[in-house]
Amino acid sequence: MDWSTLPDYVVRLVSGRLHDPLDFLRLRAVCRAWRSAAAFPPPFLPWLLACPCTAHPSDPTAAALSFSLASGAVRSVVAPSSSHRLLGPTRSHLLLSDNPRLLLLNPLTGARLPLPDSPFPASSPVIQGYLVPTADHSPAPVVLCNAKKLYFHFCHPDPAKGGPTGLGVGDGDGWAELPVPGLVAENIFHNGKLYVCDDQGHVMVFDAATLAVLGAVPPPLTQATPPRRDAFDCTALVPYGDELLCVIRHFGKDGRGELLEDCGSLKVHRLDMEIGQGHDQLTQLPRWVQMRSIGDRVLFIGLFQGFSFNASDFHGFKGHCIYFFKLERDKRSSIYRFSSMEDGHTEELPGPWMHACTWFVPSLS
Amino acid sequence: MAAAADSSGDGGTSSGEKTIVLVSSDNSARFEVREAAALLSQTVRRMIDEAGADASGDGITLPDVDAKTLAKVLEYCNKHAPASSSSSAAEAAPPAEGEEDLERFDREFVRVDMGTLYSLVTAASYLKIEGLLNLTCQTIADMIKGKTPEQIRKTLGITSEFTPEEEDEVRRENAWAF
Repeated sequence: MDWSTLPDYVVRLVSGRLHDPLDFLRLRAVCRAWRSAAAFPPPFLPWLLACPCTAHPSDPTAAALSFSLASGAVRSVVAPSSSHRLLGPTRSHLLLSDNPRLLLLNPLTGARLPLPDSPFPASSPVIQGYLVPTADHSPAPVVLCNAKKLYFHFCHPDPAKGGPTGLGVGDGDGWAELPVPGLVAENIFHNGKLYVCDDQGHVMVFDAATLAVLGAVPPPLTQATPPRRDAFDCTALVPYGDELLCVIRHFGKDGRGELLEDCGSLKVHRLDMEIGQGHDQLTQLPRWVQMRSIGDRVLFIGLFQGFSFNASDFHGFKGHCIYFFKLERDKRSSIYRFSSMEDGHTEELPGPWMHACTWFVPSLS
Repeated sequence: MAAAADSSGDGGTSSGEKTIVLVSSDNSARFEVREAAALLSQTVRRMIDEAGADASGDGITLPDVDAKTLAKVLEYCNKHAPASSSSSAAEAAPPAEGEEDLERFDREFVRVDMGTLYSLVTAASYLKIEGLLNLTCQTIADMIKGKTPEQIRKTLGITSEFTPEEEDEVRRENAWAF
């Protein structure tokens, strides 16, 4: 019996079931036959990342911690320096800020891609940022925001192609400011549009190319209980194929002032834009419509954003589920899986000992 | 329910269903199985199509599958085969229960030593039995997860045969990932 003589397509059936990049690389390192057979990686399941250096501000080799959902492995991911701050959820690259410098870093390959300097002044720095790749590989902007302003930039090196896209930086540093009418809370770029939620839950929709306002969406209808002073909802915006979802998590404070989440109350809504059908009737206005089931997909949500995968791309992964994390009091993260079938059952999964701050999808390119 | 295939074979002859005789590579064993079970193999299906209607009279010889492996493979096929139209009431289990039952069977089925697993995956690949191939590949993937390349080689008895240049490339590729 010679395992190295397994037919190529069988080796690929095996490598296609290794949804963590390190398991995939290890298979490729076993022997020459397997290495050449397993040329292309399968889709990878997300990792959970910890915020770098919050626990050790004096440590110059600041590292983030990553927890792999596929393998359960915890490992260190080195940040370039202790002054770099992780700005927010991204996919294969981390968006790091060393005010005013910005950097995209793939923690697996170490590839770094510089960006134009942040347009935010030091007095009112950027709080969040992200780069959400598009499903069809059309250009996606880097988006930066704080509570008052939002800037975005298409002219950046394309991480997937490993070099500048050929477009010049343009006038100034090429950052476009979005004319937001109010405060900026959750926001996301999706399908050529920027969706910006304000602190009251209203979403403005902008065309990213022309900055024209395409619509305004009132917050989703929630239960008619009067809002408690110490309770709030957190909305995560999630691209779902061509559509946009929002997932609402409800937080309240218990008797001791501790933040408690009502895990059973996850609500998923789908944005119904109905553009081009006339806006003079109330029923034609864009609105959020509650979804009872998310179909054979898996959602991963952080506090402000999320992403969705097809469950069928991942062997052994059941659809109809939402994965989210939250901090427990003693700094241990808990990962929860909420099953969006009728019973809405939430299950806690074994989680890592870390101060989790975002999902991250590892990539080898 | 007659789930296990044995060399005397009792397939579904009592219910009048068509059976097929499969012969192991060394000609040492003949298995008579329900047609529905045998046809889970695309290779057997093709052999029957090519040889014509009477081929199953003499039995189909499978040159690449020995007796022990064929017996185990047919255990899988008999369990996973669709019920025929003349099935008795005992076979018509409700779908939900059937699925859990199958999952339990599959889990137990792959609790075998590495030699048997190797024979199963190569037989499933030669016989083109999709369900068995997926099951064995998932088992191999689960075994590989979390192991270093050296541990994988040791478990499977593989030598890497990398040239010095390939060794360098492999070391570089793994170094930055760690």
